[in-house]
Amino acid sequence: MSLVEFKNLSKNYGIKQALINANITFEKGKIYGLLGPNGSGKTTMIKIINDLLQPSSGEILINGKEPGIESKKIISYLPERTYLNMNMKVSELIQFFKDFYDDFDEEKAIKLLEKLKINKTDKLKNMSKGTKEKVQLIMVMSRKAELYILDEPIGGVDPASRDHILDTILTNFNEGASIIICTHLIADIEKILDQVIFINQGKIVLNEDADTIRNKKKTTIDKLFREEFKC
Amino acid sequence: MLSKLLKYDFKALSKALLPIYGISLLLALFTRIFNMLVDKFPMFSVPNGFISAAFVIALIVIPILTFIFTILKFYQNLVKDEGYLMHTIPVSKSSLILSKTISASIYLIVSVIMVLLLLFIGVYGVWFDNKSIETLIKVFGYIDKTFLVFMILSIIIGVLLNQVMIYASIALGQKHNNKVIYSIVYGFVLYNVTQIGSVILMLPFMLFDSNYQKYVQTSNFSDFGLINGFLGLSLIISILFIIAYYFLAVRMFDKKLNLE
Repeated sequence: MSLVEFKNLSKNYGIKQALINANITFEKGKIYGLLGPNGSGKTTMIKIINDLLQPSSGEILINGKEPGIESKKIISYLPERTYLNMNMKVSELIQFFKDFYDDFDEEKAIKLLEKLKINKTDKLKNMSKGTKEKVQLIMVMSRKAELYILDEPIGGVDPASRDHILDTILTNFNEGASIIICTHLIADIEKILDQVIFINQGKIVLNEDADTIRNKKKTTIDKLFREEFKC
Repeated sequence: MLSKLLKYDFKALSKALLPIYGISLLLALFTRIFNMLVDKFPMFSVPNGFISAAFVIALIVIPILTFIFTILKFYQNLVKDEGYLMHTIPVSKSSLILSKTISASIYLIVSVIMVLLLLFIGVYGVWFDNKSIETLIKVFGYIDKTFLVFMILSIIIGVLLNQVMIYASIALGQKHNNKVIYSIVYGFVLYNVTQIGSVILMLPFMLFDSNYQKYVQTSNFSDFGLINGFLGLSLIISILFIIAYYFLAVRMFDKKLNLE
């Protein structure tokens, strides 16, 4: 059984079609790169998996079931924005994740925070945007989830910290789990991808094994993306 | 999970409201002190006037601010950015909304208690004293007990109905791009639906109940039996609307969530 399955799924915002007849499956144990230009439908796909948007037609199944409480127990989601209550301290946030996610590993979160020199007693509202994003990523990666969905995980982080963040992602995700990474910064993440999905104007235009692209097409994913979406 | 949600909802409301309640308590204390000082030192009459005015404003504003904060917290927590977290924790939508309803209702009751407390701290013995309380109790003694209970229940249920009606309006409004404007529009719609719906549901009672007809003709206002029947019916109708709006809000967040 596939971990996530889109069946003829479309999503419209009024007259604008954000996703058109998407048919795609995400398997267990793979790292997916969901890549496309701005407004291509990447975030819409991610939000539908997370039950934050409802499809206009078609179906989405997670472990064979519609999104709901059960799917939220196994998906760890990092949105492209800061979704934390700014009045909270980091320690309160840890408690929040501990309270609501059975798979949250408090020890791991504390270790990662210490590694990044983030103080548990600090209030989120006093942190820089980049630090807030790091805290958010730590919370998400400290879960032993089956699927991690990361929407622009390195978008707001300085280039020097990107490798560190990617390392955090790779060394902390649950063994056997899948990751869907959505980003514009392809060159930074392409080395970690198993499968590459290109999406443009709501349509999936490529769904290919990353090694096949590298070996058969003799190009990098970044180059292929630039050719595919040349203005 | 409901208890955990309640813990965080109470925490969030407390962080916003307790400082305001604290300042109001200080204001009440200053009102008391300046009231005592002005008797002996007339030069304090000007600051006393300012503080008394601020105290009166606090009395009026506390329940209003509490109401506004409960709605704001609901909106920020479920429709704005925080919604990305709240809608991806593994809890049912009914628990999310129930927790918000319970915490908001309790805080609204606390705000009324706060107003009474402020009155006692600030102006007991000045605006009212033991005698006025005794008179009030005496007046209540003459009023039918069931009527009193129904009146108190009507206030509580009325507040709850407004709260859940606004939640349902926000849940309907979040479907659209302009969430605030549509929430306000749905608020007006649901308010009118409630008013018209209540009248329609009461019509059979008003048209066909012979006792009611007699009551209207004779204008016998001391007939508490009939008034209580009327209040009871209106309470039942309000409860039905609360249930309907609660399930409407749950359904909208469950099946039509739109965190675009």
